[in-house]
Amino acid sequence: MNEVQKDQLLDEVQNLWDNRSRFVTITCVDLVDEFDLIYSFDHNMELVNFRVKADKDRPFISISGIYAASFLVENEIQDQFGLKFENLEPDFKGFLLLSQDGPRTPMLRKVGERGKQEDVV
Amino acid sequence: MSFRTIIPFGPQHPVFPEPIQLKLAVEDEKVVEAIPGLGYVHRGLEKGAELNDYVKNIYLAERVCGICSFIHSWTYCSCIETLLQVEVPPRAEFLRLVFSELSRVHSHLLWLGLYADAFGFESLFMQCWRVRERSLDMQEAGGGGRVILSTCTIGGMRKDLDEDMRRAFIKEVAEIRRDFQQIMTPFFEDYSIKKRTVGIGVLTKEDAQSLGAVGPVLRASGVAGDTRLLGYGPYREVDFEPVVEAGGDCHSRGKVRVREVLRALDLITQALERLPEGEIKTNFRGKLNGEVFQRMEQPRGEMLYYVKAGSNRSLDRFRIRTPTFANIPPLLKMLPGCDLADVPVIVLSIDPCISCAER
Repeated sequence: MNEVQKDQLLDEVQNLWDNRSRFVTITCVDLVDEFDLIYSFDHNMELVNFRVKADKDRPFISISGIYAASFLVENEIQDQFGLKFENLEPDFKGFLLLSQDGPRTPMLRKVGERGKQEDVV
Repeated sequence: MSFRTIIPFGPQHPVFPEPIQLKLAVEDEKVVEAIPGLGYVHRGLEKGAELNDYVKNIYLAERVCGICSFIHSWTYCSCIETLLQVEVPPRAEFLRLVFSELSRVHSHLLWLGLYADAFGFESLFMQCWRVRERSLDMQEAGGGGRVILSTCTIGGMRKDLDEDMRRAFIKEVAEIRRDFQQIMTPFFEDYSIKKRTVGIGVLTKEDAQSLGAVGPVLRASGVAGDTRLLGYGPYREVDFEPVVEAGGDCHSRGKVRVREVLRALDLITQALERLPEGEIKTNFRGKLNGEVFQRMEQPRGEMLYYVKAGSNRSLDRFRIRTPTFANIPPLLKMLPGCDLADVPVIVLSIDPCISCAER
């Protein structure tokens, strides 16, 4: 799978928009030190995936200005992993799926939650 | 001058079998904006799967959705089979096709019944569910359960169909087709149905593509997008062509599903007639390694699974993008400009499955 640098993400996504690719989803993987964001698009029935590394403590770029449909999954990632997206429209501020009194960032990995040595990463 | 009012549509509403809220901004009787409110049935299944042994996740994947449970288990098993490099016997692949198309038949018939009920056509609702019952009986006879079958497993299937059952299935499919053909005409021709659905909730071909619509919502807007065309499993060995309509409105979405019931019955017959002899399961061992994406076609559209192997028998990441999740942005595009009275039918026309969408 190709890796795209954060500063080239919008250009890459704009190219996909220009060649009429369909947005499929974004998958966030917690690598403990950082996040892996895997962007998936469909171009003529072929799945196009690429990954972008995201710092945990810095807001990331939203692609909702190009693919409006991405707002839902970006809000979901914001809820579940606590990764903020800049220029996200509409922005549910971490409360798309979670309620005000619910747990925060439930998808973040916690060392030891899977028992034994499994999560000592 | 008209005033803007916000009307909360849901989370409890007669057209919603499951809870979702749409905050509708309304001027007079016209909807001008819709804002979704999710999270009422979020169960954290993705996190749960990461804490489980990967074999146990088959049952978890099946419970993402009660209606299309079999295809969830097939997709999950297919991901694990790729990671373990397990070859599935051809007979098991054909049996998987039979049960996944049966899921499509009963899901579409369930939806067609709800759709008829949404505009007050109660007799049609009951007729659709009467026919659906026969497909559920087939699932029970072949898999042991009405909706949650638990027959799909890593490496193949748990249960086989014997020769008598195979013949009985072919006969039953022909009878379901005959019964359904007797009741399907109103979905195409009935004056009241057309009055409530033609030109309502239009999604253009361009919007369907740019907003990432999938399944019958995409195909009703004139795009022949169907993941089964990728030829996963035995789909490359059967004659298949996606059902496409050009209208982009609620009527077209209904017509796509009616024709897809017939197409699914046809696929079941083909698979049963060509059912290869042999084993139904390959034993497996080894260690999960790598990551994989797998797409399959649910009754509601394309579903995507991502599985990343962990260091032991657990998964580092388990991600599901369900079709309803993809069809919410197109729904938000369909609503502005419609009459408030048309909202229930438009919302229902995407066949919303909220438990799926929230996982």
